This record gives sequence, C-alpha cells and structure tokens, in this order.
Amino acid sequence: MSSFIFRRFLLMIPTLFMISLISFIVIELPPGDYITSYIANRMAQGDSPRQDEIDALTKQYGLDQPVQIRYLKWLANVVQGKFGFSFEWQLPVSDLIWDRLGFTVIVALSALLFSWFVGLVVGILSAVYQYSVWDYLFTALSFIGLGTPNFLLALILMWMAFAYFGVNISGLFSREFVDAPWSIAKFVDLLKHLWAPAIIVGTAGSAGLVRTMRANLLDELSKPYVETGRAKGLNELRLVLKYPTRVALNPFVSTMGWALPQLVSGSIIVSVVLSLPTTGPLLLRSLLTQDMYLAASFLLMLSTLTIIGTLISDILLALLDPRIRMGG
Amino acid sequence: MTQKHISRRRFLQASAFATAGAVLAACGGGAAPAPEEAPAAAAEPAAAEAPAAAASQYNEAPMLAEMVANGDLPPVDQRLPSNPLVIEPWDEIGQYGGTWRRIAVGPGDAGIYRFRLMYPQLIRYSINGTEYIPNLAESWEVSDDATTYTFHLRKGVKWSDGEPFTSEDLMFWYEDKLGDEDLAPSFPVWLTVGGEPVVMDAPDEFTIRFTFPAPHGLFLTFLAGASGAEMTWHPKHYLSQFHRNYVDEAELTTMAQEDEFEFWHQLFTNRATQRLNLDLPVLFAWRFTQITPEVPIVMERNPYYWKVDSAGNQLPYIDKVSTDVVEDAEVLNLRAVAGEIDMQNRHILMENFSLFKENEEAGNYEIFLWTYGNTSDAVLSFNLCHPDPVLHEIFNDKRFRFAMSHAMNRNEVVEAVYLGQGEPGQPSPLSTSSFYDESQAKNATEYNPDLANSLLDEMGLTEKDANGIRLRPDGETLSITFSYAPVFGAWSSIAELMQKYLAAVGVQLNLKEEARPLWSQRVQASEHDMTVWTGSSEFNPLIDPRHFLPFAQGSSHHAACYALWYQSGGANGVEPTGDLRKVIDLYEAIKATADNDEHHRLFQEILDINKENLWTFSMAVSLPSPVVVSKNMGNVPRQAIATWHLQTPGNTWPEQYFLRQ
Repeated sequence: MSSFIFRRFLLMIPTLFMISLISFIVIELPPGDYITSYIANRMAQGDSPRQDEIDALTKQYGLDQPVQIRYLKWLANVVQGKFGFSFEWQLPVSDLIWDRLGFTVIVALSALLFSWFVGLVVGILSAVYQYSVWDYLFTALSFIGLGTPNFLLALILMWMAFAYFGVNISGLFSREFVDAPWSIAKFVDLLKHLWAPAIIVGTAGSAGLVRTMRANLLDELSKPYVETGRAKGLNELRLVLKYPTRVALNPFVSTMGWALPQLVSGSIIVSVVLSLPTTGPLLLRSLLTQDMYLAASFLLMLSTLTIIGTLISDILLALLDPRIRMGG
Repeated sequence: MTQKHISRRRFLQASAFATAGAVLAACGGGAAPAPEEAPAAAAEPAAAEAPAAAASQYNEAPMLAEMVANGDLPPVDQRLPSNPLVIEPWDEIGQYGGTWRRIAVGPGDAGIYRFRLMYPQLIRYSINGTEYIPNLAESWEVSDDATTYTFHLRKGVKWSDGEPFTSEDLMFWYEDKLGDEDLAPSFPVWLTVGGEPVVMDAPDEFTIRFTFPAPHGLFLTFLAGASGAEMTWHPKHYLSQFHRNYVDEAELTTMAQEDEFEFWHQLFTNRATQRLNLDLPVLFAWRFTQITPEVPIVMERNPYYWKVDSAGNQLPYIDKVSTDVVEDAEVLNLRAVAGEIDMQNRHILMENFSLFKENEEAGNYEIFLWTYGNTSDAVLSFNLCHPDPVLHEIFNDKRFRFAMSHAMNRNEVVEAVYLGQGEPGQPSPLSTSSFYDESQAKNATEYNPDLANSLLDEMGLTEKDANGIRLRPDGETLSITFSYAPVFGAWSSIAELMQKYLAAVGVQLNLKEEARPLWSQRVQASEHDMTVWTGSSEFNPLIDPRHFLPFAQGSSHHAACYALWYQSGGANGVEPTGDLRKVIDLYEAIKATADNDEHHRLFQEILDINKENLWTFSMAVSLPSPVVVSKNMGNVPRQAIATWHLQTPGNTWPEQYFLRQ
C-alpha cells in the first residue's frame, strides 16, 4: 500500500511539470500580453496612457524578456515556493491566493455539506416512499436542479432577493465587516451570506446525490437482510438508517476525492456572478487580463488539487474494495 | 436642490473674456517678454489667491483638531502654505466628515486615483478645459520664443508627512527618475522637441524652469493635462533611499530580492506607487491608509492638504474614500443601483442608463449627465493607405467619403443607439471649446441618400450586380469590410445600421469583429478597409489631433502609413502630399509658438481642410457621460466635461465634495 502511494506521489511530479508547461503555453497563445490588455482596459475607460509609461511598465514587468526565459524563471521560483508577481495587483501571487483559497474551501465545504444533507435526506425519503407524491415531486425537482446551470440559479436568486426583499446577496460579507477583524459578529455575517452560494453551488451536486442515493437504497431495500430485520420487529426508521443506508453510502465516500476540485472549478462562474472573494473570479480575471504568473499559479494549484483529489479517491477505493489491484 | 452652479453659457462668456484678456496681453507684449500671468478664473470654484492669512483664519476637520489637541499634529496654520489655493465651492460651504464610497473593477482603478481623483499637476485646466488655473504653481512665465517656461511654486506646501515640497522634488524626478535608463527606458515624448529632451533647472527652492532646445508651443497644454501629474509624485526625502544614485546598487538589489523583486528598479517603482505603499508621502487630498490585498481600499484625508474653501476651511471636506474592488462591471451596476456608490463616473455606462434611472429613488441617488470629453465615441474612417489599388483610389476620392457621410441617417442612429442623447455631427472640437467651428462640425451630416447615390454615380460606379450592389472599375462588387474591436458596446449596433444605410446606396458592408490586439496590429499595418475608434480629448483638439491629421500610427486609422512617416521623421511610412501634408505642416507651426491666438488661427485652417476632405466622419457628438451621485453628496456640479486629460472627476474639484451628515 505505502509503495503504491509513494509511486503515485512520484508520478505527480512529471504530471505537474507538464501541466505547468501547458498552462504557460496556453496563456501565451493569444496575441498580446498583460500590457496590451491593461492598456486596452484603460483606454476603454477613457484613459490614454503615454508610450513612455508603457515602455517602463514592459521593462518593469520583465515582459521584454522572451517567453522561455520567463517560464524558467517562474518555474525556478515555484520550486522555492514563490509564485511570482501578479501584474495587475502588483503583489506577490502568494499574498493573493491563500486568503482566497481559504474562502474557496469554506464555500466548497458548505456546498458539499448542503448537497450531502439534501442528497441523503431526500434520497432516503424518495427510496422509502417510492412512487409516492413526495417521490415524484423530489424527482422532478432534482431533475430541474441537475438541468439548471448554477450561474442561472445565482442570477435568479440574486434578482429575487433584490427585487422582493431589497437585499444584495452578493459577496461573503456585508460592507462593514469586509475589513473588520474576525469576531462573532463577523462570523454571523459570513453565515448570513454563505447560504446563497452554498445552495447555488450545491444544488446540482445534491440533485445528483438524490438520484444516486435513491437508486442504491432501492437496490438494498429489497434484499433479504432487510426483510429479516423487519420480520424480527425492528423499528422501521432504525432499520432503514442502520443497515441499507450504510451500504448505500459507499458511492458517497468514493466520490469525496474528486468532489473537491469539482466544487472549486465548478463554482467559478457562480463566484463571478455573486462576487465572492474566492479563487474563481481572480482566476477568470487573470486569464482575461493575461496576468500570466497569477493565472499560471492558479492553474497549477487547481491541478494539484485535482491530482490530490484523485489520489485520495484512489486510495479510498483501494481500501474499500479489495478487488482493486495496486500494481501497474 | 438649489442650483447655484454656473451655467454653460455664463461659463462660455467668462472664458471668452479670459481668452480676450490673453489676446490683449499678447498684443501689448512688445519687446519686453510679457509674463503670461495666470488668468484669474471668474466662473470657477475660483482659484483666487488668499490675502495674507491671520493665524486664526483657518478651520480644520474635527478629526484633525483632535489630533492637534493631543499634540500629534501641528496646528492648521503651520500645516497650510502661506497662500493656500482658495476654492469657492460650487454650491455651498460643505460639512466635514463622512466616507465617500466607490467601487473599482480590479485594483487598477484605485491605481489611477493619482491622476483622476487628485489632479496634482503644477497647473490645471478649468472644469471645461478652456483655461489654465494655478495649482501647485501659483504663477508662471513663458518666454516669447516658447522655449523657456518658469513656474513659481506655492510656498510652504507640505507633503503628507509634513516635509516641505520644493523644486528639489521636481528635480529629483527629472534627474533621478527620467535620467535613469532603468526607470525611464524612453524619455516622455511630450517633454521633447524634435527628439531633443527638455532641460530642467531650479533657480531657487520655489522656482522650477523648463528649457526646450526649440519652441514648444504646446507645453502648457500637456502639463495641465494627464501628462503633468507624474512629476509631483516624487518626494525626494523619502524616495532617495530606494534609488541607486543615493544608495549602493548591490544593497538595493538585495533589498529588492527580499521583497520578491528581481531588480532594484522594480522595488523603486513599487515604493513610488501610492496604492502599493502606505509610507509614500503625497500631495493629494487623501492618502492611502489601507491597500490591496485588503479590500476595500481606503484613503484618509491628508492633514497637510494645501487648499482651503472660501470660508477658510481646510479641504478636503470628506474624511475617507473607501473603494471596494469587484471583478466584474455587472456587479458594480447592481451595487450602484442598490445605492452603494456615493459618487462615481468610471464604469457607469450610457448603455445601462435606463437601469440606473429606474432605480434613482430606491437607491437614493441621481444620475447626472456630464459631457463626454471626446468628440464622439465612434469616429469612422476609411483607410486612405489601402494596399488594394482599386479601393485605394475609391477611398481617396473625396466624393466617396462625402457620399458615405450623406448616406447615414444620423437622427435614427441617435434615437436607436444613443437613446436620444447627443446630436448629429462630425469629428470636431467640442462645442464648449474655443476651437469649435459649427460649419465644420455639421458639415455633410444631412441624411441625403439621393445625393450619396449621385456622388457615387458621378465617380463612375454606375454598374450594378444582380443584388443592386455597385461594381468597382475592375468589375468586382463594391464590398467593404468594417473591422472593429469589441471594446465599446455601441460599435456593433452602429455597424449594423451602417450596413443598412450603405446597402441603400449600393455598397455592401461586411462586419468583422476582431480581438483587439489583432485588430490593432492590422489597422497599424493599414490592412483594413474601414474601422472605428473614439475621439480623444477634443475639448482641446491640440492635445491629440489624431482624427484631424495623420498624427499617430496607432490612432490615426484613416492615414496610418502617413502618420508613421510623420512620427518617424520621414524614415518610415509614406510621405503624404497635398492636403494631408498641409495639415501636418500646420500642426508643426502650432507647436512652434505659444501664442494662443496663433494656435486658433492655424487650427482653424486645419479644420477648414478637414471640412473640405472629410477624412473621418461620425454619427453623433455631444454625448453624455453619466455619473451616479448620491443625494447625500453635495457640491458635485451638474454640468462638467468628462475626459482623461481633464482628469475627471479631478476637474470638478472632488476635495470640495461633501456628505450631508
């Protein structure tokens, strides 16, 4: 087992290297660089920066150097744990991303909790009361949930909140708390804002989980051991929760690994729409403005998450299912 | 709301007087070099000089008074210069206090505060850009031959850390910033004449002199605009600790690398950027007190700000400016209509006008319509440098260009695209400008497809194909590609309407949207048929006459190859002949004199030639630039010109805005 994990870790290194190279090439592909898109943005707002300012910027950002030099320099720094400089923010990339990764994890985790909670409860209800009114209702709702793009849900919720309740649900904090130090009040304020992204990001996932849970549980419910338990006079609620539900939980556990990167990358557009201080909007903007070190660092980080997630799910599966071979 | 601001007409009268005064002064000049004194602005929040101040004359903000009482700050009279700039507020004497809330899309929007919000130039433009007003310099003189400009700095102005601001600081910028090839890879073009850079010297602590190798008639024009901001950002006493002329370079490089920089000049630039360095002393009304990655970005009043209102209250009135950073302009719109912006012009677009208007009551704000400071947001041009000989000949025939202009139904465009705002017009100086000539601005704007058809017939383009499209002399259909970058929303709408108008006169128009960098490359290489871009600061057309003559390869899209010739001093590009050459010569003549009168006479000739040739055309001019203004915000003028070289909203004196408490 440990040699399996060790080999997987070794394999991560060339994979990450390839990913960083490909990310860098992709970022370099569109014509122009950060300076051209920066100038374009300034011009669109009616500013007209002078040529000598542009020259100075190009030199200051090192964009007068060829791309392979910039890539190698960046890579050498990354190995030392430095991710380079964000052109737009004029800050070391590491000053920008850790806070945001933190909030991303908070949003992702609450979305995960939400979708597990809804998936479990509704899935069990649907299975136990198969073909009841509730089953049909939840089935219909979960298909709608699966079919609605997250960002659309975000827009609809935002518009309804604004039009009918006069509140703005974007962001994770109210204005007075944004730069306040952490306190109980700030935490409560965070919770007040967190429900919206949690629901929006979690909806599609919970709809899927409802379907999975329902199908798995239906398989189990008709098995003889359930009948036996029932025949022995076990309380129905206890019976269902203790035995078939536990077995049906397996797929939940095995999907945990890749739920992380999926939630992080899946929430980009929602985060943009809701203006959340997570990695999504920053990544998108860095790609649009060709802020290359920031974008490349983000892509590297997300890829690492994906790889680690896959690794976790592989390990969990290997642990759960003895049929999986650990060799090549 | 009571309206005590100055109407546009009154303003024009006042400006006319000021101009007349300047003319008289120039005429009476005779032999002695007539110092061109700063004209006292009659109709401005007046920039008059204060009488010698008695010690108790000035008031200060409560938060500063408290600091003075605690001994943390010297008293207000010691902080103010001996003659502070006195501002007559637009509407009323304001109240101290409050936080001005703004929203930025990306951190760069806070980066341009050092231009747009602060307007820290030595001299500045009045609100409509029609005259110069003293600012950090209280007076100035121009030599007769327009080679030497001498400025007398306001005595006793202090940086935000209390250190005095003197000509030393300006010399630091000249010698150590512009003179260092790492910090300034190329010398600012506006400070050169014929490629030769300016020489600056400081005869004394409060005098700074710019000497050019040859006449530079437009120096004040640039200095009062955006270009003049940078020289006032460099406190020598602070920044010299990061400069290789004062500290060992190896030591600086080590310092830089500790901060994750590679070179010393990156560290210097970082330390010299206000939004990145809380310690950098400034001459601004507000100084940064919280910066990225923290949001919002916060600025607080500068206790040493060197301006007072007419009642002797030290400015600014507003305590703090708080700028939240969002990643997307749509979020900004939503926050604006929810009343979360107190005053902002940036990113408030005309295309969202109805959204903003609808929510005025709910959001407790009002939308003011300022005037867009460029002639138009859509100046259309055919490529006079076209590589295809047939199209080259057609585009260079002015009957074709007149036909195209007459084919446009401008009233319909104004209704459909500009929501009824603005009026039909050609690229011209703004109507508030003293360079404005109505006959040029309204030239060939009449919708007359019959005239257009007969002009095209007259050119010999009479044969048509089965679809009614005219045939070129070589038998091909007359098909023109309109390439544009999707930068402004209105361009695609305009392009679609044009397609319809041109089809009506037998010309086929194909629309082609291109990514901006690609588009930019192609138009600079003159590979396009026709394209569109905005005007540029036509409140004073001398600053950037890109649409009136082959001025710059990157922005004179009608004549990029000729502009390249002009820019490169004849080394590259195509030498223009005839009228295209004549306008270049006229502009050169303008640059050779500082005489305002002569500027007007020569530019009128340029306009006359433009009127005759119609090299570029536009749909609508006098466009609005919407501003969100909270109902709690006072002293924001209802009428102003919004443009980069006026540093809007800087030209409306944000330091005298106030929040009703």
